[in-house]
Amino acid sequence: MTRRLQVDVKQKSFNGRAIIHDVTFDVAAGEIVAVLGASGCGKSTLLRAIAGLDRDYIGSVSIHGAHDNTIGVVYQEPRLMPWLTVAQNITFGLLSNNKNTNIDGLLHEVMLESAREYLPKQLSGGMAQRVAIARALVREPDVLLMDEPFSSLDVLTRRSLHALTREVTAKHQTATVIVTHDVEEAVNLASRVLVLTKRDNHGATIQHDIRPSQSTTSRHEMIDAIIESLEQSQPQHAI
Amino acid sequence: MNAIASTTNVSHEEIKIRPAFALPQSAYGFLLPLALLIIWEAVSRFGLIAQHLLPPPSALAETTLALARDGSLFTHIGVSSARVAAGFAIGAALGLIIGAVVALNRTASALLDPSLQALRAVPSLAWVPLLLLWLGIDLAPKLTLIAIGTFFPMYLATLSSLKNIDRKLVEVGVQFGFTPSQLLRKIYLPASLPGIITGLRASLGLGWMFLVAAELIAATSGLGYLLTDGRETGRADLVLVAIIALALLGKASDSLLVALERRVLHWRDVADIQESHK
Repeated sequence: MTRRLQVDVKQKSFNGRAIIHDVTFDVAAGEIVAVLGASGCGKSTLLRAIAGLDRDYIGSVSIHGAHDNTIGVVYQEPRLMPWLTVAQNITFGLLSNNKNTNIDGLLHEVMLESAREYLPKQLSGGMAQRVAIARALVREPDVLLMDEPFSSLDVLTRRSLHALTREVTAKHQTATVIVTHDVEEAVNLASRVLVLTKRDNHGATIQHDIRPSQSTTSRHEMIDAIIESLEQSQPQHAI
Repeated sequence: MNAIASTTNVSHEEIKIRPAFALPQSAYGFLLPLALLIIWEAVSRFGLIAQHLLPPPSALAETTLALARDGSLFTHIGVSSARVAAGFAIGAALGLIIGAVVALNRTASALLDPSLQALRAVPSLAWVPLLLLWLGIDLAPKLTLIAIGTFFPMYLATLSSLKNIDRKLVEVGVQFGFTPSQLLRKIYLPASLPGIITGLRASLGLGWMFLVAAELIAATSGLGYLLTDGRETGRADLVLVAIIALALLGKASDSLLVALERRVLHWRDVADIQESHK
């Protein structure tokens, strides 16, 4: 497998306070890596740095892509443009010169062919997030970043979107990074789980680097172990 | 069994008493004016108020008919409408453009906004003497006054709606690497449209107000002139006809903008507050 995304954020500070310290990992094409951590531990900050939305850090993020090193982002909220239809939202990121993208194929992939002309206000939470995934894929990105994308969805919808995430990662051969605070989601979805914890004044760093096994029983043990370790690292006042 | 029990248990408060007949919702707006007309006619007919001060609606209808027959009513309406349209077009366009520039450009904002806010504090009618001195009494001062009056609500609406766009939507465009002009075209403008259309409506309303101010001061035609003419000749019926014409024109022009709003903003996900308070 080829390395697609290399992340090496040595130091990220905000207002003189360290937020991230020495977070280094890489993701292969077609692989899903989950970044797991408690709320406010710096997960989203890390994702913004990888997405290029925040360039104020020490370190580097490099993409070795087949295309032009593009990144697709799925946010916590769908962030659809309310004035555009589903189809228009999916092609939102395209510039006028490459409109020949296979929109029907993407609609089929996210199972929204029948909702093509719907407005965002007519969509359920799960449908809206499917549109957001299709929009993130429209430029055939090398890297797919997801920022707690399923946290506001019900269990069944979340399950089906996990399946969709696996499918699109395999089909589009993206290096997929999903940030989440849901231990079960991380272990079930990713082939590698990075547990981020905050050490008082040094900022968040990778405490565990876990490769979930295929067997369900050992995955359950793994989930329990991670929750326990997160509980121990949680500062008392935050509980 | 359960279903039967629950139907018989319905308390009397829950049974809604419906009227024997129901008016369509759109007819409700006419009820108050209709009642007013009937009372008015009666008050005037029975001499409770002198007819030369408050002519009855039937007399107003005659006056309207007479004005329509010699064509002067349509001339006045046409002239006034054209003045509002032209002044509103100038004022609202400038408000939109300058509001957008001030919202999007830090230097322009620092340079222009303090002065514009200071000018906004001047009651627009205070410009009238100056406009008459500078521009005479023809069309120019009227259009300028209407343009000034319509500029400020449009400027404020554009400025505030562009400044209140959801950061999260903008971030989507930034992540896609949009240029500033792409961000403006694909996110800022459509997202600020609801605020801009509200600004247009406020602005047009003020346009009619400033039209009357301009025509009251110096004019030989238009509905404002009809108002002055009625006062000077002691004909309350002319004044009242002009007022009614202004009310209808103001309502009609606002309805056009409401229709535009419905068409352009059909995507909005808004709660029907009246539906939820039934």
